[in-house]
Amino acid sequence: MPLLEVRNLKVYYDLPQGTVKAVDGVSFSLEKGEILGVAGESGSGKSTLAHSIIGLVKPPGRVVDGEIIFEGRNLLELSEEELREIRGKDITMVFQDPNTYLNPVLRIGIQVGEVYEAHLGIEPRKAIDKVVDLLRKVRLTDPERRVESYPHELSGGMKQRVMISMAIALKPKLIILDEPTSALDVTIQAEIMELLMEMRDELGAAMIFISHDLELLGQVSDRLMIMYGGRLVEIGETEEIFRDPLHPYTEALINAIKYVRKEELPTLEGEPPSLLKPPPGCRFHPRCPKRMDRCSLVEPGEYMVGGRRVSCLLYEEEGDA
Amino acid sequence: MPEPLIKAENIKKYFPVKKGLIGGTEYVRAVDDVSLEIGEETITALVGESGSGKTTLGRIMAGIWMPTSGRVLYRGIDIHRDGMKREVRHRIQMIFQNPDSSLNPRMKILDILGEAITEAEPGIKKDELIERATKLLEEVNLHPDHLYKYPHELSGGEKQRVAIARAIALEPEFIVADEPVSALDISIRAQIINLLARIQREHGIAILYIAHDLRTVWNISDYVAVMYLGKIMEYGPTEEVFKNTGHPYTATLLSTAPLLPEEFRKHSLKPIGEPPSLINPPKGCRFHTRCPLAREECREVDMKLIEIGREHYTACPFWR
Repeated sequence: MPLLEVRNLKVYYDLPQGTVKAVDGVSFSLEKGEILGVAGESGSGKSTLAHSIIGLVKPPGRVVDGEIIFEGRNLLELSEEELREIRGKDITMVFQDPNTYLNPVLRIGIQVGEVYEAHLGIEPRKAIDKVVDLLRKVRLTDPERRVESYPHELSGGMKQRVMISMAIALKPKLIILDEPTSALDVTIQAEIMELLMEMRDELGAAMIFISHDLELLGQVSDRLMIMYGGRLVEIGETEEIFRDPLHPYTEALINAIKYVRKEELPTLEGEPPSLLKPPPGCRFHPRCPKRMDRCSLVEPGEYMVGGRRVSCLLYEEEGDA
Repeated sequence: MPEPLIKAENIKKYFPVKKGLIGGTEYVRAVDDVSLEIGEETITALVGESGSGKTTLGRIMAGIWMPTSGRVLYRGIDIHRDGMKREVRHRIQMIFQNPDSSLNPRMKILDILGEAITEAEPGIKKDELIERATKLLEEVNLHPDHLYKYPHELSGGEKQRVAIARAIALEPEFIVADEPVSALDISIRAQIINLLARIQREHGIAILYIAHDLRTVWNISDYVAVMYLGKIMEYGPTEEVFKNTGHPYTATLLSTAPLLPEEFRKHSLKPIGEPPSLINPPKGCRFHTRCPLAREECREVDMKLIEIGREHYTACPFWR
């Protein structure tokens, strides 16, 4: 049994202008200890997908359809209380901007300690030794002093280490990372990535790693899922996707991260689709260099090609739906 | 290098910060004695992480900010002291990372471009102005319909195209482009980079391209200057800097780019810890506190740029 199975998930936002279909029928599964990279541009639905797994979709957003099965239980059918039990313990999340989640007027030691209080009933002040150990584990320099610090006294990289410490405190089975290093400088980003991979090896936790940075995902993920306009376009082994991308959109993304000297960079014309009024047929067809007449008429199914699932009419014959 | 178009000489920019309630004033040394020359029709990339001073230096070279000391010469004219004469002001333009803050949200694109066009040619007739604005949009591959739209009706990439059109309206010789694609989606970035490269070629413009993304730097720049904590660590022709890297800091940056072609991935260096404060930057080499190869001398000696190849300079005497 996979650790997590998402089936036909649909998350919509009801806005005055209409319904935004942010995630529109996405299915995938995740094994224990596996790292799944989720790549996509803004508006692809990748962040909404992440938030929906831990029940953080807030109105006007709503889960319209689908199942999120975690260790055999459908998270969408749990009460808020049952969900809270899982969230922060078995499933944790690290966000792009730690400032949104760290309380500016609470000392770091207290905030991190709250994780122990919420799930183990240990008072934060009594958990201080545990917190110091934890901060040492994420290699925050001078942890004894840092528990007394306020968030603003820490750099962006240090704050992200604090977030990671909270995410790993209770040895979760799944960590969802939403652009955890995108706001950081490249050298700091490299250190945080190293730390995350170390934590994965130590805890054996599975990860869903969301990023627009395909180069980064290529380094860390076992499997890769590409999203476009709220839909899955391709999912498979990372190495295979890099070697031979099947979907024209995946191909364009892989081309976009190559180094080209003093020549025109390969481009993808046009702009990502509006999710209020997505194009008919395949959502990528207006920008697709390989589009056929049918692409604007028929919604592609998902076809298995080798070990990969791809949503493109080019593979309709070849693959099994 | 032939006589440069733009020459920054010993630029310092210190920002005062109050030290507690009673303590006096301290200074953030954003740019600390930097010289940089940019030749005609060349693209120089200015690379560095946040706090390196690259944006500050860019704004000073664009004439937007005054340096604390030092001067910027455009064809021999001090752009700050001579009050930025009109003809100089027109020759130097800037493109910002976030077009939302540089395009007035209450103005139609026609008026945004019109402002620049009338600045260059006061008293231009309305129909001529529309014709010029239409041509400018064509140059940046935007449909003339966009003239009558407001910035919020445009996508991020389209807004950046408008910003480029406005910059070239004044027929500049030098453009400072501060992270012009960092806020854009990957599939849009390449479009804008290609556009910048074409505009540069067709108009013979020199560009200071401020960026942290090595992929676009590798693609369009002729020269690279690498900044760290207000100082230039390395400068040289792009291929030289990538192939015969002259500074450990540059090597740590290159080490973060796994897809860089094999021949440039000779180094695998990781910096140590967090960047220090700009208020009390480390003595000696600014990078020594994070340099994996630092020696005793690095704490003491104030590093000067030394020539290690044709037009290639490094601030590290010990590397290689």
